[in-house]
Amino acid sequence: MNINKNILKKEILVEFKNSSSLFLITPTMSVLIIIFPILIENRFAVDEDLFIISHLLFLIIFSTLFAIRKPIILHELIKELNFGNYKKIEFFNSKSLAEFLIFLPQIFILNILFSAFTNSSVNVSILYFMISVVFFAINACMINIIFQIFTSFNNRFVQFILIVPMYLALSFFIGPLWLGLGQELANIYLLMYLGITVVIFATTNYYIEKEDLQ
Amino acid sequence: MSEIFLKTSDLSLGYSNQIVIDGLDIQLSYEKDYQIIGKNGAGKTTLMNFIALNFDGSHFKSNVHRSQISINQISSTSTLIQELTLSENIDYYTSETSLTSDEKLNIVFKYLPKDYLNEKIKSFSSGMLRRAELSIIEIKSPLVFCIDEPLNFLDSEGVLLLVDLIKNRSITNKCNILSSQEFVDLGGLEFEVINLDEY
Repeated sequence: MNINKNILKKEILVEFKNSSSLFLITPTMSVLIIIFPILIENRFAVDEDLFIISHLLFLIIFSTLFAIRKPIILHELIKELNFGNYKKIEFFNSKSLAEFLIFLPQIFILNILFSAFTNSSVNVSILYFMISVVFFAINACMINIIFQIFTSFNNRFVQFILIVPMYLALSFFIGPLWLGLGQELANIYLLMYLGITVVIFATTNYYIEKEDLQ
Repeated sequence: MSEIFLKTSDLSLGYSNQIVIDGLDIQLSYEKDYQIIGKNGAGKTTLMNFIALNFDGSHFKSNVHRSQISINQISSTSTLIQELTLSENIDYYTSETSLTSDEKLNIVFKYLPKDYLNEKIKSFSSGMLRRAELSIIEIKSPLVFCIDEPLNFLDSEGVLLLVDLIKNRSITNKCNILSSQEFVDLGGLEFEVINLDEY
């Protein structure tokens, strides 16, 4: 797999120095802290499943904010890669891995805080929950980078509008899992998620390799 | 092996439906130096970006034959990563060279004072940015080096460093391509001129 450790190191360094994720998780958490204790006060009127749906909603909002925090400007990216003599495929793989490494711990923190603040939990074993979150994170990171390097939408609003439906589609696989499925159905859902991950990764690699060869 | 690294016939480049360069035939060898000259809007930067593989517009009915060789460009806006320090940028951009860290630093200190090494790029002036990019070019020593408006941002000492860099590269048969509005005399160095006003 074409992963370049210099690109990986650079992406993590830039994230660390910018702390841009911190600026996202803080307002999201603030909303959670303010709104959900109020909901819990009227818990007798709130269906248990509503918390799981809200959980997914928060996941999508947070992922979208994370995706648009620092748009990739294609022309500048090409210049940077050419100046460093890096291939686009190396960038895609290394950037996806870097984003995943930055994103995954934050998603786990978000999930833990959500459960803590709302005193709710998902109806799935911890192992299945973690696997579903990992799949969501991998796909969300890859889709974000694909979307940014194959389109020239540098406007954050346009990106927001277009990327939300994609993340909604990803969360459709998580929804039934978290709401509680039998063991066999849960396995099928996770396998489907794995299949989607492999298809996205393979298709993107094919197109980027093809583009580089031309 | 042929010394020609780029050959085009009927090259037409533009953005969206607007054609900037129309029907240009060029043949570039990496054993020569070139200057692309022309008025504002003649397509100097477009051609330079095309040569350096940084062109993001539309190719129309062009025939292009290009060899896979190392080409690096310094354009009017800096390519260095603003959030990182100079030292981190050097590590990122020159990772594949065979030089040791000390050898790289010796080259960098020829262009910039030592205090700049751990400064973030975003605090650099335009002149220092250009010097930093020139030092990276010297470390990487690509077969083809393109520079847009070579004298921009550089003081007299910076210009001397640039002239030295280009001279040393020419001696080792490496190609330098400059683009500016008028011919730039760099210490008597010989350049083949591509005048875009004639097309």
